[in-house]
Amino acid sequence: MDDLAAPLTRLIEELKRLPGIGQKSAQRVAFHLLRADRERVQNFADALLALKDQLGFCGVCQNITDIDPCRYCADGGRQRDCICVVEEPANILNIEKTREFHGLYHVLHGAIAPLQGIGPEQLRIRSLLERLRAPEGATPIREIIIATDPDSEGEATALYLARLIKPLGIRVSRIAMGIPVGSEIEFADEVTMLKALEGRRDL
Amino acid sequence: MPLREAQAIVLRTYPLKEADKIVVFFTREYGKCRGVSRGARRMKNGFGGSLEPLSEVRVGYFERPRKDLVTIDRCDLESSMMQLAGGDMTRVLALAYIAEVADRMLPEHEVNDASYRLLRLVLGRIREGLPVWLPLTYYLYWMVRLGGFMPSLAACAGCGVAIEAEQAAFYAGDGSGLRCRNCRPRQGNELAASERGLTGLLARSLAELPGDGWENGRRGRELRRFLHAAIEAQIEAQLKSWKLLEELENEPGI
Ligand SMILES: [Zn+2]
Repeated sequence: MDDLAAPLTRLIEELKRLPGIGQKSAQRVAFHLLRADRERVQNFADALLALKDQLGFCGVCQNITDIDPCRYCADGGRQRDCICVVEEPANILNIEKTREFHGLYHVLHGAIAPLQGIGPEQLRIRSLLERLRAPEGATPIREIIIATDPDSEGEATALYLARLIKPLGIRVSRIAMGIPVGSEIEFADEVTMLKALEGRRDL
Repeated sequence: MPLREAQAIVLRTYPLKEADKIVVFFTREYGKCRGVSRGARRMKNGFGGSLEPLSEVRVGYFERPRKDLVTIDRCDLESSMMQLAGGDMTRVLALAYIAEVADRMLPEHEVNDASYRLLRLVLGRIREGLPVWLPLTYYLYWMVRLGGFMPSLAACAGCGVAIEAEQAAFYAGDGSGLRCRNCRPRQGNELAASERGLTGLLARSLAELPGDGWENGRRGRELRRFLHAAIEAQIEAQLKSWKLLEELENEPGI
């Protein structure tokens, strides 16, 4: 590393902080950018800065957006009495890909993680509760779908939300957990199988 | 690189790179180990629900020469914490705290059969439906005793005078022991006589203890705070999951 010029070393060090990028990948990207023409590198740098300068949180659902409210909240064609709660903004894309959900979203930006000291107050739960107290004339919320991860942190978050929301007389549902499509029951462990049985449906 | 197999309890996991996890697990045969489970964060992986904290598993792993991290080959679930929690927030937080205490107190690669049996016993009783506050308090009491740093409950750590069974006693958060009224620390908490008396109960086998009176967090609360303070002083670090458990304990109706 010592024999590389200082600007190259600096870029490699920055790249290495990105998820999934080690020394070799960082070097490859740095030399690639070094060979690229100035305009392309400028575009790349602008795109990075725009990410920080132009994006913010949707005032309604807390999704990452460049316009407030975000495209989902602003879309008058969406079903306004149902909110799907997710941990991260990226989770919305997975749900949108199904084209089956037409309601609104709420992004918590994490999950209750006792071992990391992350409690409910570090998540965007208060803004969710405010949405449930719909003002006069607005469509009242009928259902909350909790789509947090099927691990112990996602389950803790789901439990916590259900405890808060159910007393308000709103239906609270949890996405199904169980056997992944394309796998085999033979390889399912007891907790996966149990969740699959709990989440069974009529045919 | 021979494959090792062991009975283990998963204590916690950390995400690693794109799709892997680092798993901290406590084995009966080899003590606490850290391993990498490749692809454990992908949708379809061979680990299923086995890597969630406090899962009891049968783990197979390879040790790597001159590396602290072992490579986890497979992990078969024998008993899950997600079932153990049973949809109850108090249990979820108590179990997270138990996992953190175990992880922070147990040194790596050191066989500790007593701590292993203790943890299994406590998890087993929680699974049987015992109110979680009793096994939680039992776990803390025995981890402090097995760690060899149980403060004296019979004499003042300041002046040495005997603390009588019915007297109030006090302690600071620094693990410096229990004190009489005269030596009471300025920023101290009280450990009531009735709470000190619980240690006689906890010294017995958990299998014999009935859950009556432990349905809410009131009984044992001061003793748990005292033991928690002793543990934090011993490991010289804060246990992150304690705050959430305390907040829950202070909620009305719990
Ligand atoms: Zn929005």
